Amino acid sequence: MTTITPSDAQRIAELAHLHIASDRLDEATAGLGSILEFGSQLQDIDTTDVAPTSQVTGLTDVLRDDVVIPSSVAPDILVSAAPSHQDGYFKVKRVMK
Amino acid sequence: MNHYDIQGAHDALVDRLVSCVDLVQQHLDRIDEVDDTVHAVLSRLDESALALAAKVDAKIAAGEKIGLLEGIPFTAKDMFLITGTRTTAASQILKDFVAPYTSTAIAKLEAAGSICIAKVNQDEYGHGSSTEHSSFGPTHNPRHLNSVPGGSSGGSAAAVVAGIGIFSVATDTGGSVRQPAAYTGVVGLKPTYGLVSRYGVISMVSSFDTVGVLANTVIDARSVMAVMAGQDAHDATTIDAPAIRTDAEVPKKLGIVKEYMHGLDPKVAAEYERAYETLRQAGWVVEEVSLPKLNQALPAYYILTPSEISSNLERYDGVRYGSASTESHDLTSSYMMTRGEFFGEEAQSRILAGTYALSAGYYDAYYKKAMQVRTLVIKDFAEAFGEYDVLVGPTAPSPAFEIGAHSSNPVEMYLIDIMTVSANLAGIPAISIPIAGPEHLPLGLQFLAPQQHESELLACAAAAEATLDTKLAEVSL
Repeated sequence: MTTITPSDAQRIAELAHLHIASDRLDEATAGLGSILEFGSQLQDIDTTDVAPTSQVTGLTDVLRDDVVIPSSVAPDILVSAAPSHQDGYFKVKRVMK
Repeated sequence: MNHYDIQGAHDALVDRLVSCVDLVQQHLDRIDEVDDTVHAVLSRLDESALALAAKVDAKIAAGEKIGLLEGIPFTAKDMFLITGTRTTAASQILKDFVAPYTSTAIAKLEAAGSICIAKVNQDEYGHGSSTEHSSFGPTHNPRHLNSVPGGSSGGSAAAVVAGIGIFSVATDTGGSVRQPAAYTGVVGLKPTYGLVSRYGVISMVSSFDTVGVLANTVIDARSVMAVMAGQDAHDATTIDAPAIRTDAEVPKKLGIVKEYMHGLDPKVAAEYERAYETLRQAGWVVEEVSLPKLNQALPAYYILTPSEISSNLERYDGVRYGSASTESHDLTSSYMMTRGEFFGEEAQSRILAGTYALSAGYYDAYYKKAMQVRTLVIKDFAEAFGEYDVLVGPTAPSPAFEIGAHSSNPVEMYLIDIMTVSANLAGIPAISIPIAGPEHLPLGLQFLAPQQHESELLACAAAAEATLDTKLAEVSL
């Protein structure tokens, strides 16, 4: 099974948009390694021709009529929950330099 | 104070032995009396609760009939949105988040007249089995303050046993209702996946999450579940299930899950054997059955759940709601700093594991493999339910452990969930009822039934509750 290095953990953290402080990286690497090692027990199980399960109650997709339903929550209430907002819009840090 | 069950409180209200305002006030006072030591409560809802109670009193005074759940005070795990209340999932990211709408489960209870008096503690986002991973500090087990109350719904369990509210609404993704019920000596019911709407409930693992209830008795759990259950246009995963009946025949053929009895402390095993024997004496067939794939349920659970967690927690970007870091200069770094600064270590650990399991090159080896093992677990249950009406076994491998005992290694904590996760993998209902433990702390006896067999499961658990000596001493706090 793959051994997890601090640079692996760093790469995964970047994929997850998660900043890990340098003094926590070793601990995070060890934690990730131990979870994956635990999960690697699955490799010993024969799953030939076994279908994967992602939904347990057998529901299938249904479509509703394409009609506009008013939101149960007013947009200004939703926007006002944002840490930063202006004129009824979410305000974010700049995207491009 | 009187430690009422729902029927007892209802009768007391109807017979005017207590006013609803006094009933609610007694439960709020209990927070003042015990919560400095227990720390179950994150937010109090005194004002709204007392106002609702006054309306119930006015109704009673006018000679109107009230429903069974009307005026009954309860608590809700802080995963449930209730309009205007702070809803945190015990995370720093949501420490100041005020819910803009109410979850369907709570709305149904409110429509039935129940009164939410407090939002209660949990492991952050439900990640844990001890309520030690709350960013607001751990909850203590009211039966033994140095011990954990279990988790992730430890605040709910502690509240019920300490007399803060008569029941508590919580979520169960891998045992988070049943295991704390076992650790504190109350009843914990996890329904069939999709029986209760999750609209307005903060997501942990979408293909596993269920809304459950912790209560003093099986009958109470049934009364609450019967109100919360039902399809909801706001949650496409809800199912069209039969209504929960109170007159279901008691299933009498029980299979003891052999895999759950392995490796138990002999003193703990002896308590379970005693319970099985008591049931046999009372006319049940109780015999061992093997479900070998359940041994693989836990590693499958701990690959599938972080994967879905990493996906569900993507929404916490510090833009639309929740806390935002001030240590950033552009959009990407604001995401990274916000998430790094405000997610707790366990949440970060699961985000990393899930992102890894879902990443290119590892998906087949981890996520897909775990989904296939999930299929095998479901097959094992289907075979066992061909033979037995209900399966039975321990809820957890031991009684509640001491605070801090499993804090060094995440996998050590995961092993505690070994007897509860399978029900979530298969989407089946399960309930934990208390039995006496070998020493000062109780144990949980778990019953599991096929999907949508809540009525039979509850009939079985209620009959077992009456047969076994499940009455534990009141807590002295």
